[in-house]
Amino acid sequence: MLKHNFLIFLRSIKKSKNTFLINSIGLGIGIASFLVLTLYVYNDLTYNHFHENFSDIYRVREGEGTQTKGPVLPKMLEEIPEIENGTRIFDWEGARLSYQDIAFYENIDYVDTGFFTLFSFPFTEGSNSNTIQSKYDVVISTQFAQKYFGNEAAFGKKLQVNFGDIFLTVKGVVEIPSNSSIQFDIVASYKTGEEILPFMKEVHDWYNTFSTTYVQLKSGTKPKDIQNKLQNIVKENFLPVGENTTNLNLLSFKEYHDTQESNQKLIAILSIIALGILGIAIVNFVNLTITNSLSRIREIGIKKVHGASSYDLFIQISTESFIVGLAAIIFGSLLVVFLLPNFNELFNTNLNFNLLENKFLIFVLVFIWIIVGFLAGLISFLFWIRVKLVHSLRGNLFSINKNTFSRYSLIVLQFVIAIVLISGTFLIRKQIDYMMTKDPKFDNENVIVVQTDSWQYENLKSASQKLKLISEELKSSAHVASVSFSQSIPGTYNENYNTFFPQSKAEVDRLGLRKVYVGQDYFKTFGIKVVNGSGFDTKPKSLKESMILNKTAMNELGFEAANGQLIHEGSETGQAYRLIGTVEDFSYQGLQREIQPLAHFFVERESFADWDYLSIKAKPGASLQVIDFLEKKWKKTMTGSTLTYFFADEKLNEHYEEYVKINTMIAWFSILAIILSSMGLFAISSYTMFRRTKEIGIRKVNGAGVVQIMSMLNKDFLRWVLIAFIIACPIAYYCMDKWLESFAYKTSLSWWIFASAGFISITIAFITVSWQSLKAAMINPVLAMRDE
Amino acid sequence: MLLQLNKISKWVQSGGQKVFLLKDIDLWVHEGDFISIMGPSGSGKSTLLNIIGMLDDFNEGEYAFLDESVHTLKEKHRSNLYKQYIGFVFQSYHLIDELTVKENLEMPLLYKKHGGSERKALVADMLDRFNIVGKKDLFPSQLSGGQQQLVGIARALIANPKLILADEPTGNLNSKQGEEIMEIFKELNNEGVTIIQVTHSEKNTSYGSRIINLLDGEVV
Repeated sequence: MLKHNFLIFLRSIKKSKNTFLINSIGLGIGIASFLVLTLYVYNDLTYNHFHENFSDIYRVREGEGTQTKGPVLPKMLEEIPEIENGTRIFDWEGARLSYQDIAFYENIDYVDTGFFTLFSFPFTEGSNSNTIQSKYDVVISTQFAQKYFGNEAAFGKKLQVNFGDIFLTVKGVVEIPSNSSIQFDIVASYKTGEEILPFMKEVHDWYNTFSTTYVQLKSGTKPKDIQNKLQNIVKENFLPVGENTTNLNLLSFKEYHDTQESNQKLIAILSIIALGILGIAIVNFVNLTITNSLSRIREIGIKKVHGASSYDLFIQISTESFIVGLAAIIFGSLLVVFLLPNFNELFNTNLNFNLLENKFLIFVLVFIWIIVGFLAGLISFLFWIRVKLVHSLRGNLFSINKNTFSRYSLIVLQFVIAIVLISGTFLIRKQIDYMMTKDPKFDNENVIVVQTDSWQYENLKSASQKLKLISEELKSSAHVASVSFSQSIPGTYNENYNTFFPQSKAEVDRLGLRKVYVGQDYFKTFGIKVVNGSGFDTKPKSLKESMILNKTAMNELGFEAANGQLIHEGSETGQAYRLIGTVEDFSYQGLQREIQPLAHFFVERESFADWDYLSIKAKPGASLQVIDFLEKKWKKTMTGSTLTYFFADEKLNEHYEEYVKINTMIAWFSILAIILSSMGLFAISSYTMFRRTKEIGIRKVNGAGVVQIMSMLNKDFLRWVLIAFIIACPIAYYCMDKWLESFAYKTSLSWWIFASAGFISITIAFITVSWQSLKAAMINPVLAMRDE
Repeated sequence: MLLQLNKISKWVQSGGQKVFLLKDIDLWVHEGDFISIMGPSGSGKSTLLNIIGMLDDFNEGEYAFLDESVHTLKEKHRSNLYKQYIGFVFQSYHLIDELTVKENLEMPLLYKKHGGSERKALVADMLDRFNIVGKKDLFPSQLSGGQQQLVGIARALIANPKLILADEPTGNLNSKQGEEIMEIFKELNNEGVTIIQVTHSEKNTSYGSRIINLLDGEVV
């Protein structure tokens, strides 16, 4: 019997290749996108699960802040016996690390010796016991090992720190899973850290909050069990002693990831899209299977007459839908295998599609298979048994209830999803364009920024001199308008805030300001307009202890103009700065955030190597000449170091990368949604045309032309797409309005976003339906009416 | 007595009125009968045959098949009845296009749970009997109408039914092919198979033993 069913199936797909291909490819695409998104979500939900002690690991917090003071952990280990293990991670400053002639600037993480017993990183070289016990022992990541040692074994190799006589010995290599919160290139012990960074000991006091701290509780212990003991530590040690009320608390590792790292909103959106796409695909599959099985209604009638029971028929149709389902799953899985690397690259993920390693995936696939096979089988079967035997023998489908609405409602739903996604794509693009093209109010055409990358130089003194020399040479070039050194440039401003107290009368008695340190001619070089007062372009002597505010800060203070008002930092008697100028509200961070009150401080550095950036303003149109000149000079002067430069708005535009990614993703899924919806429309229209063959024949006999018949048939379908459009508009409007809320500066919701989404969907629907209706309209009326 | 219809009526509602397709039909069929149902288009011939074959239901009256009353039977029992006792022959043959001649013959046996070797033997018998061994691997579309109907009859006979129901078996055939088919029916009848055929042709009725004339759903 099974053989018989297979045989019939194979021969009938030969006859209706298109249906079979559309069916398995459509469902395959749906399954593939569902799998990719499932992998993404699964990866996020299983973050850090590879640590054996996962459920007992906690991150120590002070209030809501995830950093702690240095001595907190030693104190906890000493006073709280319920704490099994613990480690701090301190990454303050990197260093130049070199092996033979390979050198990079690396972030070194300094950790306590409990690090490798608390966490369970899989070692590819060495083992987790005693790895960093001795001074100068380090453990590195596989990427790091690859970078420095290629395919050679890393164990025992020595890395030179800066240009000094400290050498680090590799005692282990770990393969850090992609879904680990803790990612590092190289870790060393605190003992090592204190040698490389002498100030490290000083900052581990009861004042500075620079450590990341993890603890492992004895199994069975809950954070609330030790809460009192934690508060005791605060009371006895935190400054001022006895009065500090900081809530020292433990956040479970799981919750830490969920609340601090993962983009839960994106995860939710992706999950909904994944289910939506899979839903569309399954609906199509079921629709197509029904359509296909209806065309075989005669076969079913014949079989019934010859004694096939309902059970036999159910088995036959299920066998078929299970086979098509399996084909779709295989196709979908292959698609994932081919597309996952692209996805990983696009979204900076490291997702893995390995069915053998991941039982969950097998479960998901089997689940989809059963749902699809059973559902399509069952629904077709229900159609079959509802048809009266006499009718099915005649191949007559008219006895089936015309429950058009319930079938069309699925088409409407599909198109609603497609239209919402398409308009979402347009809107996100529009917002990105708006942010990227909005006038940043600094010169983004003629300013070239060079990274000083001082870590490359063994002799900082000579590096400083060379930087000075090169800046002077640039300044004297005919193509250059001005040059300036600074700590940051627009797009890289630090989150460095303090409270300031104006001495003279102001609207507020204190104001939080974001602090930026820049050198001479900063505003001039970046083309930032000084609204009143002056920029930092007079003699350095006269600029000592001066500051410049942006317009937002001035407005909040209620100052008309800058004229030397004194403003104290930290307290009313703190260091005073003279306010010498006001600048325009230029963009220094992504436009998703409101412009904050900014304070620029003038500083002079003894060593030019202490600056991070050297910015050069070219005379209008002379950027290329300046770059040429810069490259030549750099090669000559800064021997042995690489030159990194870019235009002034590059760092600013990096703030929009995430949105570009989301945009790409939604664009892909809207294309998928429209393709899948068209497939559904194709199936249902072919079914309807089939049913109306006789009507078409009669109309033709009575003089209807091809065009008239096509327009009659198309009208019926386009009506449903139009309804979908009407339903989709308010939904899309609501979603987009919500999405835009998170932006401080937003584009408008133009009518053309909806119009073009609607236009695209209707055009595609029109083409899909016309394909079928043309065929139907061209039919020979004699053939069409012969059945009667 | 093979089957008995007692005051069978079937109607449809049209514009608030009952339109009778069949009205008060009484019919007795004994084993070994060869009955022809005749009448103009729309007189209810096919409907009557379908009711006898349990492919269609009726609104009123009683129907007993081998002394079991059909109208009280569940769908499952009903299908068991025609599985066991009834073979159908159709005007348009109703062979399954995707199956070869051999497989078409085998199909009813699959649903009667015959073993593989038994199926093979029965199919070989039928192919032999109807002289179509050479055509066993062809698909229906590769056969002439007469050959297709031959296969149709062979398939109806393969499960050894007591009753053959034939709905205009020669309707789509030319006269020569038609005659051959009728000869076969006659032979079968001589072997003891009961046959009920619906036909338009006076000539075909001459092969049978009894004629029932229908007009507007009533026996005349």
